[in-house]
Amino acid sequence: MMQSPPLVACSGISRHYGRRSEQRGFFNRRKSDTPTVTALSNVDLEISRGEIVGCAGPSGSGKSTLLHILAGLDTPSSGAVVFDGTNLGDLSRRGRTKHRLDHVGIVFQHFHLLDSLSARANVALPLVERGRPKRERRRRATELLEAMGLGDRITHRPPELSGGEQQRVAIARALVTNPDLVIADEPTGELDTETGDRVLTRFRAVAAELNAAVVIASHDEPTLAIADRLVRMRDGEITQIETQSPAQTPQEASMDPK
Amino acid sequence: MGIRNRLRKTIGLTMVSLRRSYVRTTKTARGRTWMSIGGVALAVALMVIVTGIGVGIASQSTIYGDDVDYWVTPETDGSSSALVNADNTRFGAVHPTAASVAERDDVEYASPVLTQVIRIESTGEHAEYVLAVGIVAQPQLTEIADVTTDGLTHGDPYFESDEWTGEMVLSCGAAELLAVDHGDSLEVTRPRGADDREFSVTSVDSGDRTGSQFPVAVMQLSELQAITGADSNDEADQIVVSTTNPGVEAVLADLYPRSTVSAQSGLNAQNILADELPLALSLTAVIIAVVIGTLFVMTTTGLSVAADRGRLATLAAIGISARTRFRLLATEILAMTLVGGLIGVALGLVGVRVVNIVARETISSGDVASTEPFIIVFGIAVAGVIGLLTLPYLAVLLSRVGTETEVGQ
Repeated sequence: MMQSPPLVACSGISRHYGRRSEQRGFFNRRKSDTPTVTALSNVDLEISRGEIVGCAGPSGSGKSTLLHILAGLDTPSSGAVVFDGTNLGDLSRRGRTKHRLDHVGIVFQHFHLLDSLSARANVALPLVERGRPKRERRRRATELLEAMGLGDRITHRPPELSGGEQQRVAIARALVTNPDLVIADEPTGELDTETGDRVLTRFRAVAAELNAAVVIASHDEPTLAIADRLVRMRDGEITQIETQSPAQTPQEASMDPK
Repeated sequence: MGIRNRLRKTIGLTMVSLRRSYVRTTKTARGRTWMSIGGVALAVALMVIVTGIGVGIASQSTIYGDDVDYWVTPETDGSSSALVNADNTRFGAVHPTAASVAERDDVEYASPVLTQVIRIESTGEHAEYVLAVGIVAQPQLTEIADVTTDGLTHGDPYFESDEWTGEMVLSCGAAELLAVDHGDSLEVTRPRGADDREFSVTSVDSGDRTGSQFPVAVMQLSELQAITGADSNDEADQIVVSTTNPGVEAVLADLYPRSTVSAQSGLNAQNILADELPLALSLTAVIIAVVIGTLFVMTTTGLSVAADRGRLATLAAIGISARTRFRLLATEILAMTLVGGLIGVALGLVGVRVVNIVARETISSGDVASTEPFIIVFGIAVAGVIGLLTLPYLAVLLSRVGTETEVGQ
């Protein structure tokens, strides 16, 4: 049987910060003496559809940089990221924004919802950008919020929600466009165990039902136990890729005698 | 994206922006938002007051009533008012001309108006100069030059049947000046040794209108023509018309060659443009309002964008395009400035009223500032300009923040 091509393929990607050229903008022409910092060094990684990839490592190991590059938020200094046949390096900034809208759902540790909008309006915002009908936007956002256990909070604004509830709204927002790739940076950082369990179960369902790839960066080993593969990083390099038998929930992981 | 999707996107974004503006104004960012609205409101209010004073100055030489829709006047070189200067060009054969206009079904009334400064002697040989306004009195023409026409027989009897009425309606200011009241006799001194003419005061205006304090005497047109020598060619300075049909304007334009037709809504604005001082006042007010308002809104926009930096970056990260982010904030700014404009217009109208009250109590016998419908539209338009001028600054701000890599910070 022929193996399907990976959804995302990173080949030899490196990312350096602090170079003089990057400090030059229209309003920022001062020259920088900041030394070059290598955040990512010669990383090769392939991610397939339906796969959950965990990303582990200490702070400064390059996890977030890798996630940003996978999502098309940042571009590598060298190397290439090919997403479903498209080299992200060939896309303009506008093109990458469109790419994220169409293919990528992102969950950040700091979820930054719009305080002035209800939970449902926050979730539906990417669908507004896509020009979807109002009825469809409301239905889709309501479904996702109910799936996140927020059925009774859809009209609440973020300041009226707890940190965990806001995080779940942010996750619903990331999933509302049925993305091919979900990027989650510390998605359970603000959540209690039970809610974190519910969110990770949702990620598992997304991977299975949408045949989407999910990449999760976390310091929390039980959270990473849900991954099919675990990428361990240090000093901008991948030190180890482990294939593991994924736990369905973090609770299962914590009960694992191994 | 198809047209339908683009339309849905535009409507959706506008609704999101308006909703966001409302919540920010009432809940999440009240201080900053109201500072912007207040800045625009103050600037627009200032402009409305100063422009109102300009219009007031420009209107002081104009004979008009609130119910008059059109004025037909001879063309002038702009050096002086056509309405009070006897040396200017006048229309001839005005009685039949006005009558022909009044015959139209869509014309409520049409009357020639002659204005002339005359010398009036009251009993006791007390003489004063007043501004005489001659008209063809009609039921619908209830006031002219802020003086009632009650007390004048309709139809100009001296022109129709050589029947001298001697009716004269005085403004409150004229009655005070001449020290006369209803029923008193007056004598008008005629030039070049002609016999003086007898008049009687048939009514004194109650004095509750803007121009009532000015010494004005309203009388039958043909009688004023007779005492000023304007009867030989049946002359008048202008023809005032009240109508329900804007199409009449074209007919009026053809009445006389080299004549100008002014409409109610445009007359005072026209006066502003023709008069240097009011024009300078209004232009200065507009420039100051735009500069102050724009600086206010720019400042608060900068604060707002800085505070929302993380959220804007997140919007970029989840695929909301730069154009959409700009449109979201631009709609908010425009909505905010328009609200500021409306509040500013309301404040300005109150300010004009206060200015007039203060002026009446101190330096003037009448109003010094005027409110016209065009000032309201003008105020809102200036608020819109303030919003539009802020948009390039917003674009620059957004180009500096909301970069995708900021989301993790």
